[in-house]
Amino acid sequence: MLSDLGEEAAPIAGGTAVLILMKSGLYAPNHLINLKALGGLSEIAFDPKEGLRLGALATHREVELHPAVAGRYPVLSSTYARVANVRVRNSATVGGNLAHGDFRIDPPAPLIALNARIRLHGTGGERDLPLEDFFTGFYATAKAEGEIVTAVTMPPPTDGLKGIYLKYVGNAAADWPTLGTAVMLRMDNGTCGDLRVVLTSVAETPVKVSGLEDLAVGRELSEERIEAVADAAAAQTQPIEDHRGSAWYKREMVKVHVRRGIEALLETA
Amino acid sequence: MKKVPADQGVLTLMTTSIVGESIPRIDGMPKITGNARYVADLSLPGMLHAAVLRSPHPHALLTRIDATEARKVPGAKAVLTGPDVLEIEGISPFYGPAFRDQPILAVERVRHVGECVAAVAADTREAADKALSLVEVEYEPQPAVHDVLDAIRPEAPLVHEKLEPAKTFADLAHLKGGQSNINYHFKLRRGDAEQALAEAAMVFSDDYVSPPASHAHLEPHGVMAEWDANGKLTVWTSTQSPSLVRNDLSNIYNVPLNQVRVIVPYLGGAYGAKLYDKLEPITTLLARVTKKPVRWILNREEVFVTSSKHGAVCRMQTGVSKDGTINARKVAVYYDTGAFAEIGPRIAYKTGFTGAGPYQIDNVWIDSYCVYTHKTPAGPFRGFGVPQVAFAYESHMDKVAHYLGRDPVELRLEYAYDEGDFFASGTRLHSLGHKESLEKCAEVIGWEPGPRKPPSPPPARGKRRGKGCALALKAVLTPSTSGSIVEMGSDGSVNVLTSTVEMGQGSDTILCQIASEEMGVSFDKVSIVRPDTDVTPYDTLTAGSRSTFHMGRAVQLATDDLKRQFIEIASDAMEVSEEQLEYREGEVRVRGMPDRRMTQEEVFAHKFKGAKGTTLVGQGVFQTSVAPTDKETGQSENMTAYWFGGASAAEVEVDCETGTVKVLNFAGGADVGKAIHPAHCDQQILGAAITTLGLTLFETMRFEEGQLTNQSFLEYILPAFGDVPRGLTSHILETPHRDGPYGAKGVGETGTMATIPAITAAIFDAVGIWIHEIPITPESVLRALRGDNGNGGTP
Amino acid sequence: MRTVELTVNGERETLEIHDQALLLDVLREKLHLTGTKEGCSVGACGTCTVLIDGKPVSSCLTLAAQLRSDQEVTTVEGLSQEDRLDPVQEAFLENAAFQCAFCTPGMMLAVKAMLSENPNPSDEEVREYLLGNYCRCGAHPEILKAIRSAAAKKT
Repeated sequence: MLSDLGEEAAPIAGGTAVLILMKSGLYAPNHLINLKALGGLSEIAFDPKEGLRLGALATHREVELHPAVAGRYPVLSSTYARVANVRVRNSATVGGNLAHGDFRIDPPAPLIALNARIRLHGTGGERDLPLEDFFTGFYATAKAEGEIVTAVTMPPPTDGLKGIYLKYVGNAAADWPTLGTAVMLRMDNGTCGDLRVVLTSVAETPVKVSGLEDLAVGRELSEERIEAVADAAAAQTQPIEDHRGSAWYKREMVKVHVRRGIEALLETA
Repeated sequence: MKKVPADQGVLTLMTTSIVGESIPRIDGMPKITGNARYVADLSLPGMLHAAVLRSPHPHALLTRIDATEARKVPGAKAVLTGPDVLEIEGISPFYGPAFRDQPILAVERVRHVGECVAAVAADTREAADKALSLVEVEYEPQPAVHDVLDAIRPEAPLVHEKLEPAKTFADLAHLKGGQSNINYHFKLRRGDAEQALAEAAMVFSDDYVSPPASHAHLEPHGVMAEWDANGKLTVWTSTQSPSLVRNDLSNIYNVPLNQVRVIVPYLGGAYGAKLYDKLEPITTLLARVTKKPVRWILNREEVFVTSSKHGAVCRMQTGVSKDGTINARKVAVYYDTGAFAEIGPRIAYKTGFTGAGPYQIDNVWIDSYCVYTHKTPAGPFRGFGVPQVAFAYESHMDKVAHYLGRDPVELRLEYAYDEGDFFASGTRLHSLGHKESLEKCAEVIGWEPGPRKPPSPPPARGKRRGKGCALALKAVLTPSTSGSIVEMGSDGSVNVLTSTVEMGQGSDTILCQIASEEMGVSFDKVSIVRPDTDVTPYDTLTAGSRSTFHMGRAVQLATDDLKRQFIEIASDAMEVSEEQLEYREGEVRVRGMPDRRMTQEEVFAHKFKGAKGTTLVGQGVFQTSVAPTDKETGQSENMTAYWFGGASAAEVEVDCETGTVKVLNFAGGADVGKAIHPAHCDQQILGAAITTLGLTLFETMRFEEGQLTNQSFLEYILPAFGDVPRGLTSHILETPHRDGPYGAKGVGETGTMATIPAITAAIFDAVGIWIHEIPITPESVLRALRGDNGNGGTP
Repeated sequence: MRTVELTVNGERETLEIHDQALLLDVLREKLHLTGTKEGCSVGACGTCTVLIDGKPVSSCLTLAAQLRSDQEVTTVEGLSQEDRLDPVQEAFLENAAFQCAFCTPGMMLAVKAMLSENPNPSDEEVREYLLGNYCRCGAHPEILKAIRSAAAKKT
């Protein structure tokens, strides 16, 4: 149905994003297709071999409160718990949130850091791609016309891998983030075994910081080493300049929060 | 207060005073059950829905407007444009409290983004929107001026080419306009400030900048209007000034006052944004044209372009002589009033004269300007312009204290006015309380005496804490008038009729407390009749922290009138002269003879021969006045009915790596004269402070070339629970005012006045940087910490 | 247009609504439950908060047609039962936890949901849960007091 109606139809799940666009006049579909009527897309399931699967229609609040998520992927629970406000989290769905492609949303940071993949379903069947490849530009995604998001999956957690998500919101508690920073770290006998850093809300698409294998893995995370990682993250970020800060400021914030994230994880290690 | 069971009937006596008791609010039950009705909750049979088309340009000529196609939309009952309004006979198409500068619908040109260009009344909102989409408008964009300092340049495009003073304010009558965008200029001269500054050993000179901000009352403006078959207009409106709206509508339609009835349902917050005419002219005109009831409720985007806080630049110069004396202040404050003056000239005047602060300084020079720009019209915002200037004069007290190596609290206490002093305007001061408030707040925040010793150079890492204190003094808007009627029924129950608008501040409760106290009946027998200009008398407005004082006194005068009637009746009944009688605790007694008395019931029985359901009515009008102000020097023996002082103290934490500022602890102090309802006073102090905290740290209306870029609550962020300081206390000071009811003054705005400079002083204490502009963005703090001079370069 | 069955404050209602009708408008205009307020239309202010199966949502961002008839909608009008105030209402009344009260219906519903999920929330948990319920009058101190007193009564 979705593919038949083309641009005239919008899939709607929780509705928190689509309805705002419609009210603002930016978007006026003739039809809304109620994805909630589709069965079986709201399940949250964990399998020790397969990992975690978040059905696209699971709400943020359901992810936040799910015991398997809290037990195995605590960084995911804590991130979903910080999205907007509790009303939005009760309505907004995992899939709808990602499909919206808003650069200011929180979940992609830890999801990408957890090597999540996104599953799409369309007339051509099902496909799945790494989540970082899903975001292709400013409010743009790899989702083709007629496709819907059906799930987000990620591998089982690695032993010893710890994560943190830092939501930096400036001076107003209810503001959108200036920067979201997810850090995943595994220490092996005093040296870095694995380090992943993903930044959201700062550039048009999430920034998965590259080169950390060379820069950090296998090394001690000294103050200088952490600075080097933070500098690399800042250098790889092309910030959106807005009232939350200039490019200079946002890169400074990347440095600060990458460092704080790593330091916080080292303290709990 | 003793709780008196209702079955004790008319003989209910009160032995303890209810004044000073934090009794449960009279509007509590309606408000917690969802039963309190606001304008948007009302409807009438056959009611039409209004909507307007708004200008997309900050300044443009309207070269063509054609509503032909719009009028064909099924369900669209009327489509009006500016030219249509001009053609309606007997209508005055322009309005405004200071100048008649605001058209009902734009004529020939538009002056701000969001100005109303065409209006529709239709069966449904959908039909109204459809019709609007078919109104054809051609604009020819014109050069626009957006910045208040640009607007005063000689070459700036004029927002208005002429001014037509409204007749409301005599001192504006001579203004013609047309030469510049300055529509009002207030001058105060005392001593010789220029000479003193020239002789000073040190002169501080800084611009303090406040942006326009949104009142963000959660209830959008709304109006419902209906004309009856006799030509009488009834308006249900979300207004703080029903009497002014009535008078203006009477002017617009050229009908007598008694043909306009303004009713105010519950008001969902206002803070100054719902004063004077807002939606009333358009809604009533649509109702008149269609001969049907019309309701217009704004959406949030429209609220943003309907009113705003005055952006302001306050240029403050303070001189310190060789001996360490503050010898002069020279102040120039530019209030950005946007496209229409609204009450801006009053703000420039009534607040401008306090611009040097409540300090004994020999030489004072103040210029206060109200300036047009092509932006959202500005109106009063809780504090009426005081926070913008207090930010400047208090910041300079901290700078001077730092320069002199003195304790900033002590320096303020040394210079601050005392009872009986003369203000810089030559007005003698009475009942202040700013110094006591400051001392209390400093004590509560844990102020360490002595000069501030911030880290130098500013720290690069970690979080630092600091404390700051500030005070301020405001003069109530004067002159003004409040009228009240108090009606007692034969069962001893009392109705209090006033046009004071209950908008959350608790006025319904306080006015009933006063009536209860005066008439000696229990509080549960007193009820409020909320604003309805057919029955409630004139009141200037509910704003500027004036209602407790003015309407409180009006209620007292009305109860005095009622008591006098009781005595007159009792005198007749008891055959005792009126002089020998007194009204006490709900009954008339013969002085010195406690056994000879008449109860309320007996008085009614005598007057009305035992008829039940009868009423007696007392009325009172309370007026305040001013002495003339010299136009060149701003000197006046009496500029205000009362002063209200207060202070704020803040402890902040500055993150030196991000530049974020968090207010950890806050103390607000206010001199209320007498707290009639202490809990309401506390709530006013802290409520005002929480709003101001948002205005200090993040709220701003962001304009780009006249276009508002954060016209939604998704982008304009308000203080949330997470922003409320963990330590938050309020402190009521009581310096009775000789004219106030039981000595009471106002308190609605006090918490706004000194909060900005208390926070900026705390930031200085924490990390050693001076703040000159709000909101205080993390980037601006970080740049200052890194030694960036703020010119935009990368450190 | 379509016919939907909604359960609101315990009453089953059969209504003719537009496909894209918002729950907020259906409550206010079809059911005349005007206690639910519209403040911002974008789900940010919280004045339109209602409970669906006990969970707070923004009724301005909820399509009525997406609700199932077995889902229970609660508005402020449904808080008190047969003239007995809900403990949250009592606490708001006793602590004067409002001024203009435009936010109050939504605020009380959010508090009720919070306390049913977490009967004794910490100060931090309260501030986080109510992040999206604005009060422009600044009655936050009294609201926080009311929450503590309601929680104390429950536990």
